[in-house]
Amino acid sequence: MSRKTPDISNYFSAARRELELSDADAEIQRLKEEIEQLRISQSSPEAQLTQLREQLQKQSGILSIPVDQIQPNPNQPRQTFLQASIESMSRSLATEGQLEPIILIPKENEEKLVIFDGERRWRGAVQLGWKTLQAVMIQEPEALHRKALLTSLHREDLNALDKAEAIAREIAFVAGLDFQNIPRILARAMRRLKRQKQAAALSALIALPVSEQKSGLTELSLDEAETAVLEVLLDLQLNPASIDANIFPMLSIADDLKKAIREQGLSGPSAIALQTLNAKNLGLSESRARSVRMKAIALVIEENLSVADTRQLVATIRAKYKQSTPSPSGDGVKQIQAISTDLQKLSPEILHEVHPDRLVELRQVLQEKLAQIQSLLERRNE
Amino acid sequence: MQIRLAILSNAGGSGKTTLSVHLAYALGVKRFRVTLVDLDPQGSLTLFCGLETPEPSATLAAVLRDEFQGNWPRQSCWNPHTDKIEVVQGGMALTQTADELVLHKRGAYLLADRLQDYPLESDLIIFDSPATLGPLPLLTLPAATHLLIPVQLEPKSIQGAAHLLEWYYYNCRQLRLKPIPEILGFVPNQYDARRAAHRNLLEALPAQLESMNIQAFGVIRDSAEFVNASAVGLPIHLYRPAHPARTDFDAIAKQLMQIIKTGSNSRP
Repeated sequence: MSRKTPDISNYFSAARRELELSDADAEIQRLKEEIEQLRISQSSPEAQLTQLREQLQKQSGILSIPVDQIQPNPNQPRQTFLQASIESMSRSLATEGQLEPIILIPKENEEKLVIFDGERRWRGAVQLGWKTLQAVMIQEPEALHRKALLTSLHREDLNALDKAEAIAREIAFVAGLDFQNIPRILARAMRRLKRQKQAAALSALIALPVSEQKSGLTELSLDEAETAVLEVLLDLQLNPASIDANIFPMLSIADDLKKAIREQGLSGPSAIALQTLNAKNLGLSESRARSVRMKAIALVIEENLSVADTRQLVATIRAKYKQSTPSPSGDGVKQIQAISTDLQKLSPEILHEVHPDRLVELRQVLQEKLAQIQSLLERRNE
Repeated sequence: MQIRLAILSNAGGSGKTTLSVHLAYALGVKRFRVTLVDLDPQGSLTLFCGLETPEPSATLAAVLRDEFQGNWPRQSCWNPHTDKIEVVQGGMALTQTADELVLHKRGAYLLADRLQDYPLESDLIIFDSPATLGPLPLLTLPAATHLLIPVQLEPKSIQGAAHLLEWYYYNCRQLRLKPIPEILGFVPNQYDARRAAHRNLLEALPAQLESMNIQAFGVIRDSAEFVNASAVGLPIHLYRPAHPARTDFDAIAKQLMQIIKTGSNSRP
């Protein structure tokens, strides 16, 4: 009975964040009015303001901070700051001044203050050559990166690459795993769950309270690292299957594509499509393939192509290069090598885990080929 | 003071109109002047108050038109039991209003403007909203002094109410409302004590709301008589004068009367 009662505290978490924002707004408003009051009522405003700043510093009020004492937050989920958006921020700062204080965190091991909110304003101010910015200080909350992540994950404008990095970083932090290995661990778990037809059972855990998510995971025969990764994803209300299929692949795309996402606003799905323009698929050298890809990226961005149009473009380019490379049947040696390598990859574990029907199918194909090879070899020996 | 009370919920069937008419009746019989305002294109208040379907020119849609001159279309209801309650009816014409609001210069502030330019002399104005988070309920935020949020004790309804809170905090900031309308509380509706899921959610709800400094009122019980009463356009007090559910609205009504008289809300 109580098992069926959902944990309604999850329902209210977004509302609570909105309330916190409203409270923070009200507090900033109050402090602004206080400063304004003081400006009007005091005969020697400068001295009084200095005193007030010192006083506010203790209560975390609005301060004027030299821009060179500020640094971006390395754990900021948003790593993408388009040049155009910083320039528009610069223009807004130049014409309207700074409307809201940025929020900074003093960190014990850092010389500079770390930005919690307002990186775009800071970059804009640096570009304008401003010496100082208005800021309020907060103490570092325990799970700062998590809070920043949750706030950003639900913003639509976080791109898939930033999202992938932020999620992997959160998992690395919470589960104590190596950042690099996390996509592989997830992929391994998802592959096995799909084979065992358990993927739907996993997705069903997303909506449950954390304690039930944990007990649900124990029933899925996962190893320690896999369990840890899935726990964090479920806790963040993210669908592991979709992270595995759509988000984490962003981490392994080519650097020129990452750069295009961050600096020119290339979309995640378009990047995945462009990624297939590689040396192997095109039958070109690495550097030639790279230059083909760069041209395609430039075209996609310049023409603002949709994902579908991008895929079309990629298909056209691939078809063009495929024609000019030798046809696979003319290059039997390579094909045989490739297939032998692939066959070697069929490890005993994989064979052990697949459905017997698949093994029967495989055996049949192999037997037929073996018979053909046998007769060919015999004929040659004759 | 005059209370302008928005009854908001973005889940259908959460008891907005039931709550609206019964609070109106509870204060009407105590000689307070009450105006019910229907923002719902479905015009449920017309049914619940036993009124005829109005012409579009006799609905709230006409009030929100630029040509409005202050002649509020008001229908008195439940005569001769009370002469204190009147209704500004809603109806399908409001769907067009909702579309036009989006482009209107005063958009979300239009209802507040009308009430400022052409004030109603009531002690209590109740806004009954449609079950969405669209432009029509948004009209109530600048216009209202207080909010009530009815919820069914079902996960869908409570989750809907949580999204409503998110919407409320966000829009009060966006619209720069000073002061913002105060949330009087959540009202658990259609409560069936025999259902474990209802009991469990009723128990869990106050702790969640308390952390946001929102009170949970006592329950309105589930009863088929509410439906039967609405079908003949009467509050349950008139339809089944001895029905125990008639007292379920007393605590909220008492608090409303106290605010009208003293201008302040000292919570129990």
